[in-house]
This record gives sequence, C-alpha cells and structure tokens, in this order.
Amino acid sequence: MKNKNMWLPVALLVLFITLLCWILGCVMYNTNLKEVYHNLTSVEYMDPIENIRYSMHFGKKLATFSGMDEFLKKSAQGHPDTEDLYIVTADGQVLFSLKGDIPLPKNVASSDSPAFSIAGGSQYSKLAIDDGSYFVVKKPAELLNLELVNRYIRLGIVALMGLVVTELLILLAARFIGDEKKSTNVMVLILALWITGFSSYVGVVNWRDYDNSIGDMKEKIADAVTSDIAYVEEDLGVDGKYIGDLSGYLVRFPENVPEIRGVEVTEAGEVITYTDKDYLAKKGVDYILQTALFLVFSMMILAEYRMFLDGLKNTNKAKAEPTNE
Amino acid sequence: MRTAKQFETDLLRFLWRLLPVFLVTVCVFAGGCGNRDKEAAVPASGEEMGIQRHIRVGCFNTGEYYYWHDELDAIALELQRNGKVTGYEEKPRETMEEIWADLCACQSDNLEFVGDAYYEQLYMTEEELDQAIRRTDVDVMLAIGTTVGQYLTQRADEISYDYLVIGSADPVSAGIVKAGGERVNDKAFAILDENRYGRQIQAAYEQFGFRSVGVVYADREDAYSYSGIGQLEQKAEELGFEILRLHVDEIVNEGEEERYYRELKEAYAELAPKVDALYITTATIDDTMLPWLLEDLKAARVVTIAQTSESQVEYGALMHIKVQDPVEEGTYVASCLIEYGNGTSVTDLEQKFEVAPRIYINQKVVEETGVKVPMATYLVADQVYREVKQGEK
Repeated sequence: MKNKNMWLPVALLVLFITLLCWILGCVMYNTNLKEVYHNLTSVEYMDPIENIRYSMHFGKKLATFSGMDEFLKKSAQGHPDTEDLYIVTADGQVLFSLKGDIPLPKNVASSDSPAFSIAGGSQYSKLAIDDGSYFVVKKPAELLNLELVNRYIRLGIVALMGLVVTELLILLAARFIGDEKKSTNVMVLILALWITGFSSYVGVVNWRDYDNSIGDMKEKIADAVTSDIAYVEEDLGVDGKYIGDLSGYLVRFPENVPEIRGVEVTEAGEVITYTDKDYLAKKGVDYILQTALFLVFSMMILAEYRMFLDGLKNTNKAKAEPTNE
Repeated sequence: MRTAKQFETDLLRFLWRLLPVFLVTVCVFAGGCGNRDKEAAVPASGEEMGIQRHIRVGCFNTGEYYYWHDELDAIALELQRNGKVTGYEEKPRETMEEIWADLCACQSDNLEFVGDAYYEQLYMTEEELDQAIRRTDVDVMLAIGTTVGQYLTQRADEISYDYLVIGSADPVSAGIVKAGGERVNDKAFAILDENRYGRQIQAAYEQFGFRSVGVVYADREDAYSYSGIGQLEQKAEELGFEILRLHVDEIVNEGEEERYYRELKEAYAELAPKVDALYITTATIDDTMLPWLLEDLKAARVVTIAQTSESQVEYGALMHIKVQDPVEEGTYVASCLIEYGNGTSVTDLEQKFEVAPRIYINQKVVEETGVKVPMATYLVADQVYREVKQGEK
C-alpha cells in the first residue's frame, strides 16, 4: 500500500463487509431452515388436519369434536419427536391438547404469532385448520438449534478464510500494481469476487436444504398413505376392494403440499409421489432472487466503499499539495 | 488538511448510509422464500353460569322412548356435574319416571323438581290432561317429544307456565316454532336444528351418490314431521334424486306388532328393486327386527341409511350419521334451565343447537351390499362394526 493511511480503512472495510455478509448469511439460514422444518411438520400432520377438515365438512364443530383426545393420540403415533399437539382457536383458546395440562405459550397461541416459532426450548408449528382454528405441533428445538449453530460456525469459518485470502490478495495487488488507479480497481474486483462467491455459497446451501427437504416430504407422504391404508385395512378390517374414491383421498396431498403434483398407489401397494417441476422452478427463482438481493446489497456496500476510498484519496492528494497561502 | 478525525467522520457517514439498506435487507431475508400458511381471527368464548332465582320444574312427557329417557338422564347428570343439584347418581334407570323421581329427591338451592308434575301423555285421559294444563305451581315444564310440544302449543293460552320442548325431530313442521326460530307464543322454547336431516342426507349422498331413495313412514302429519320428510324432499330437489315413498301405520296399541312388521317388511321388499338407497326413518321399529326387515334390501344391494341411531347400524343398516344425540342435547337443555333460572326469559333462550355428528358404518353390510365407502370416510368414521347383531326373527 503506497499510502500508509489506506491500509487501515481497507482492512477494516473488508472485515466490515465480511461481517455484514456473515450476518446476512446467518439470517438467511435461520429463515430458510425454519421454513424447511415448518414445511416438514406441516406435511407430517397434513393428513390428520385433512381428516379434521373432512369431519367438519359433515358438520362437526371443533369445540365439541367427539373423540378428539383419541384422535390426537393417534395422530402423534409414529412421530416420536412430537412433544404435544394443540387445537386452538384464532384468539388463542386451547380447545384440546395431547397432554392436557401443559399450557401453550401466549406468544405462540395468539393470532398474530408467526406460523413457526421457538419458545422455551421447543419449536411450534401453527397449521391452519380453517379460518378460525389451528393445529399446533410442539417439538423439541434442540435439533434445529444445533443445526443452526453448526451452519453459523461453518459459515463463520468460510467467512474467516475468505477474509484472510481477500485481505492477502488486496495487499498483494496494492504492493505489485504500481498504478494507484489500477490497484484500486483490482482491489474492488477482488472484493466483488469475494462477495459474489460468499453470497453464492449461502444461496447454494439454502437451496440444498430445501431440495433435500422435498425428499423428506415425499417420504413422509408415502408413510402417511401407507399408514392410513394399513389403519383402514388392518385396524378397521376393511378389504381393499371396498375402499372407494382413493383418488379423492390422495388429492389432499398435492392440494396441501405445493411441491407435490400427485400421489399414486400402485396395485402392489407402493406409494409414488410426483414433484411439481413448475413449482420447484418457481421456488428456484425465489432462491436465486434472494441470493441476488444478498449480492446487490453487498455490491452497494462495495460501491459506497469505493466512494469512500475516492474521498480518502482526494483528501490525501490535497494534503500532499498544500495551498499557496 | 485531512485528519484522523475526518477519516472517522467519513467512516461513520459511510456506515450510517448503509444502515437502512442493511435493515431492509435483513427484513427481506427474514421473510424467507414464501410462507404457505394463512392467518385468521375468529373469537370464541365461554362463561360460568349460576342460578339466581327459585324455579319449579315439571315434566310433560309423550311416552317412554329411549331417546327421551337418555336426554332426561343427561339433563339430570349435567345439573349434578354443575353442582346445581346434588344426589343424582350415574346409574342405569329403567324408566323416565324413575329418573324424574330421583331428580325430585335431589337437593338444590334454586331448582325444585315437582314430584307430582310428571305426566305421560299417551296414557292420560282428557280430564288428566286438563289438570296438567291448568297447573299453577310450575314455572317451567319440560315438554318431551313432538306430540306434547304440539299439544301445549295448541293450548298455550290456557297454561300459566313456560315450556321447553325437547326431543322433537322437527319442531318447525310440527308448528311448535316458526321457521328461523321465531316464537309462536311467549311461553314456548324448542331445541331447534332445522336442517339436521338435510345434513345427514347430504352426507349420505356424498358417499354413495344415489339417484333414488326409498322411505316408509306413517301417513300422518306428525310422522311426516318427525321422520324429517320435509328435509328429505328439499334435498331431493337440490341434489336431483327421486323419492319413492310407502306408508305403513305405526304401532299404537298392543298386539299390532305382527301387522306392523309384516307390512314394513313388505314395503321394504316392494321398494328394494326400485331404489338405490333406503332411508330408515324414525319410527317404532325395534332394532332387533332390522336384520329380518332389511333382508330384501340387502339382496338388492340397496344402501341403507339409518336416521335415528347407531344401534340400527349394529343391527344391519349400512350407515348412520349421527345428527342428534340425547346426551349432548340434554347437556344443552340443562344449561338453558340454568340460564332461565338466572332470569333469561324463555323467549330469549337460544333455541338453535346442533350436535357434533358422528359416523357409523357396518362393514359386514358394506361387503354384503357390495358398495364402496370412500377412503376419507373410513378415516374419520367413529365406529366401524364388523358384524351384524342378530335379532329376534
């Protein structure tokens, strides 16, 4: 660095940009991973919710829903990570719950609370039954928290390594490129590359999480269908040939899970799920836009930084050429 | 000259300019890639009730009937549960008179069940009926069944007490209240669910999509009412199916059983080849006779829908969607009594009450009939019977 005064601002601002990018990356991880967890829970409990809706179609009312306690017990079977289930009204009144005596935190029960929230070491997914009621699933938040911390650390390591490499490259550029203007442009280019690489990394990790979750969704749907058929055939003793309108039942999955286009049960009893490629493409664009926003923001920082450097240089120039007075 | 202080100022200015952009971006990222759930707000409420004034209660019953028996028992149990009476034990009781006697023996601060204000209309003479009408030592009469409800409504000008009509299948067509719950006088109250059978028929139609429904009932005005024929006709028009009806006089006097069941079986046999479904309406049918009565229908693969109770499904009807429940209704009537005792006028009591429906299927009959029941229905069915209980014949 030809000008001693330039080293500190460059080092500080690269650190600043990296820190901001890391924070944004963590926010994106946090938001997207919670969404993935929420979506998986909603797929897990979509079947019981649909059964409640179907009963309500016959005129059943939630407040007086006969057999709801048993129904909740049955719904929780096969989901050992479920801590509790609640049926709540829009104003937060708990109508039924699996364990009965454990209250729902107020910030989870209220109508303006988010669909997914964390309170007291548990995660809560609030799934709409109809316009006036919700099915709330409580699970331990340890796994999510662990995964998030893991992601933050990994992103932190990537940020730290990137920071060191970027600083080194900038230092080398400043040292070996004689022309000050050129060296500044190269520094900005190095920073732009670093920001682009970092935001792309965050975007790819987020997309990979989402993409992997689709496989989990398909698996959960297949489990739900298999277990429903087993319940009707084995528990109720109904021969498969007397089960009607299977397609009317299967349509609940694509209707509620936008990633799924259709579900089919083969004669051998195998459940096949088809993903909705159009929806996934749209979702892919969403993720690209999210990453692009990250990038644009980072580039704005860079532009501001460039202006800042120019200002600094002008000042230094003025300092080097004192006035005639 | 540029100083370190100026550099700090530039740096701060730079950071300050970035701050709003950063905050907006964080907010956008925190929004994620789209939320798939919807939010809504519908209030719900509930309140504790007490009894503030002393009320004397009588019971004017049409006759002994399992539904009314269970409803009266449920009223007593709910009052006991609420602490409004004490001493009413949960145990089997043979007759409604027995329930009434036990209720009268209970302790209560403000509710008095008048021991001799218990009537069974079927066995009363004109003179006894007049005496019941002219009673002045009762504040409110539990009028059980359509016939008593109609009778008290016809003589409303002569009575001094209010009356709560319960256990009436269709109080509107019986003239006890007007459509929409409008009162015909300022003494009457009736549990009202104007479209209960409509919902039942609609649900059955959605399962089987029948084009014709057979129905057998007595050719009388009250039978038309309690069999829910008006609602069946309404649904037939709405959904586009045909109704084939036959009339059989119900058992009124002892010794008519053989005639009644023979005529009913003949009517079912006559309908069997002509209909897709049979609606077994409320009537004096003993459940144990059903396996025999429904033989021809089963052979003709006719779907049988029980109107009254799940016990008919145990004895061979294919499906029942419960739209009336004596226990739930009784529990509601108890809350109305408490409200009445609290000072609410009988004309201000909420008449509209719908029970939570339940679905009952007899899988054995499904197999014998060869129909298919939708998968989604099996998943929400409250009870699936695997056998048909055998009856008397």
